[in-house]
Amino acid sequence: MEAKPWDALVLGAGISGLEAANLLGEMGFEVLLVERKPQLGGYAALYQCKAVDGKCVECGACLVGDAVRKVLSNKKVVPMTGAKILNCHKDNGLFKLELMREGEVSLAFAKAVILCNGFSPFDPSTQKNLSYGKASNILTALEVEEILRNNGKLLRPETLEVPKTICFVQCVGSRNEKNIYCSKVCCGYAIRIANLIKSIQPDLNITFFYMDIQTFSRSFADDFPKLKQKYTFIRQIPGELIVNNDGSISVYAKLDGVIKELYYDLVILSCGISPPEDLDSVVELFKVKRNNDGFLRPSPEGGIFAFGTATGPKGITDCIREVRCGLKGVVDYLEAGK
Amino acid sequence: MISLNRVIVLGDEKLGRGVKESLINYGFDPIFVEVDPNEKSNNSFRPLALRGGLGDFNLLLVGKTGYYEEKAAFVVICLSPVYKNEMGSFKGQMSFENFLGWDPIGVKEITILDPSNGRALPSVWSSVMNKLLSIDLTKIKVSVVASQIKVAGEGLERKYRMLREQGVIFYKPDELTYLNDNGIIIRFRDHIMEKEIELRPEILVTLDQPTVPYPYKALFETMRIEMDQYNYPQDDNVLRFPYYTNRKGVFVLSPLPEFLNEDSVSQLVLGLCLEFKRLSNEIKSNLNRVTIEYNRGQCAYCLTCFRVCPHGAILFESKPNFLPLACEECGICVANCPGEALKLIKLKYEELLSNVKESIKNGFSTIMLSCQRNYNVVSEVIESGLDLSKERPCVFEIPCAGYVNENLLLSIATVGGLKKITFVGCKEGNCRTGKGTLRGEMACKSVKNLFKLLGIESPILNFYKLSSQDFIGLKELIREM
Repeated sequence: MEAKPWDALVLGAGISGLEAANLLGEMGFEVLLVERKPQLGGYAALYQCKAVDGKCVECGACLVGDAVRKVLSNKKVVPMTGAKILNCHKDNGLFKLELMREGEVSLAFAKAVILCNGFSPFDPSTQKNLSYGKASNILTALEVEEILRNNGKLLRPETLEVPKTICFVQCVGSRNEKNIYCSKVCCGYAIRIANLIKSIQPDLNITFFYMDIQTFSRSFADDFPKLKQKYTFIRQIPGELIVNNDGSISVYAKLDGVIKELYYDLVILSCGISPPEDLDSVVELFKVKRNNDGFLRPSPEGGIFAFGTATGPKGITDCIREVRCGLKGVVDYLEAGK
Repeated sequence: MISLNRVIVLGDEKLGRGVKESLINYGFDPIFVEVDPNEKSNNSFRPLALRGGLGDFNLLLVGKTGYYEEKAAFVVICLSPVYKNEMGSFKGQMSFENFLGWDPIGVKEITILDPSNGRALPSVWSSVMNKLLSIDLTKIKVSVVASQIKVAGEGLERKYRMLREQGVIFYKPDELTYLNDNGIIIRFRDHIMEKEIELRPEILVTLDQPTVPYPYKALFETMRIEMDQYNYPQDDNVLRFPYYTNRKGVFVLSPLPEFLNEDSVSQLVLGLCLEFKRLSNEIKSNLNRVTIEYNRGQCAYCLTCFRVCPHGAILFESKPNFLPLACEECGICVANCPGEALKLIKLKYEELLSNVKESIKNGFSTIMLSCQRNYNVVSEVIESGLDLSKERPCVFEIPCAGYVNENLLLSIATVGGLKKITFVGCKEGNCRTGKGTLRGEMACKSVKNLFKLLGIESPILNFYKLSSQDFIGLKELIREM
């Protein structure tokens, strides 16, 4: 028995997948939204709204929450969480997909496949000099999100002390020999999260170790000089993070020609956007290609489309833009097949 | 009824005509109206007003030969930004736009300068880096002076790397000074080499800033399109991204702060085609909708509703006409009408008030008024986050925080039997009506002050600005409950 084919199968329910499924659903197409994790939203759903004093800073986090609710009320979209694709064959213009969910294998047919399988945050433990994993006070920004979500403010994870000095190390896993690309979002992300933390804990001293600060808002040029007064910006990436016995972290930096040891209660690593860990299997299943940086080529052909961070680093709003513009190709493809 | 394929492309020769051609290719029926803010072109028009709304726009124009009127279902703005050189002109100076099409024959030295403290856009960097890579760098010495190099674009880090390998020197001064001495002299401190540097470039390429010139601003004002602080025709609101304006059915492809090259414009055109299609479905299903009930006897003809409507959905002729397709049912006109001549059919004030009374009868002593965007979020959080020992509030959905004015809030607060009124709106800058959340906050403040001044005991009144991912704010809300 063959089930009725879906117009589109969207792989991944992060912001790009949600947006794609929603728009297609609104236009009357039947969509199956397949997500590996038990909940919708992907990484973007873990981000706290970065608004300070009730003023939006255009981080886009709320758009994810809105998109999840929209999908759940969209009758044309069927979300399927905790599911994974085992196999994919194209036969007579129709994709035949084998899905696995809770140990059970089922079949689905779709006219088009949209890959929105997102990204993996760069794993800092692969860089020994960062001492990540060896000290509790070296955190990734995602771990900081969790602390903020649970405590409402930034605390040192083990001792639950309030830190006095913290630093952000930018470009972790970006712009280096291995990953010759800028992850685009981390500068804006780190500065927004710093502004949020500073609004909760005004006495906190915040330092940024950076290469170049990338534009992150319309008012960048006006805001950046103000930020330079509020925070310390050091244009160096620390060679090594040294863990001291008292749990603090030492960083050596050359300031005005002199090498100095700087101490921080907490170090936050701005980890870059890497291609998703399981991208190899996706590449193999759908016979798509990777670009120079290891992400998916933006417009694969023959009914397979890719959007969002799967095709390269970008922020929430940029993902939405890519989907809104790129879906025209999907709709044309589906309508041509009618 | 106008054909839903009819689109007015309002733009300059450079961008507008191209957009018109692509819209034709995608099966639309566009009309190109050339706008030349400098009024140099003979074929250009000046818009006098954009009346009507989604599905039924009416653009009044004046040209060299008289007055015109164009009708369309949608309007698209595509005006090129103007690049402004902030430094003034120097001998040997050229803008990056000229540089891109320039052949550096016989030149020994080029300096690229971002004079704007790191504001130059990645797209500008991308085109400049491409140009540099096309030049024989063994013959020309190139220096780049910019406080921040923008590499947040595809392949840019690779290009940046290639340029460094080919001998281009990148200086990243925090500050620089320049003076005109028969050519430009640039001075700054280089923090890597720890020394003062002085450059006397033969050719200086400046990464000029896109700006929105004054005539554009006047144009957007005439068309009642809200602008951000830099006069881009899209107010600074995350919900307007990527091409929406405050007026439903009016889109902007350019000028936008993020965009520059023609590729991004043609990308956005694709998105627009889809949006037209989606909105066409909406128009067809909403044709006979009535959103606002109008009582002529109470109307003072004061034009307040026309002025406050954030979506340009009210047309004032001899009386206000409420354009159902453009209306977002936010109720801001209702809240601001001094004569109480308007009622939002979706949720009338008396209905809300009687619902509140009903909830008090049912034993609730705290209520929450939540804007549409936050309603599900706060309901979920209260359901799961509020411990059972505490009294639950009765949550009411209102279309927008701006729908609740002082009068309504006073009526609710003085019903009797309420201990607490919690009022929830959006963050400033992602409210769907633009300023609705601020209006709601104002109403809340005024009513609070009034009670305080009169010394009357009142329910506790609090206003929260929340969003769906504001875990900290939602926690705070639960704690205060």
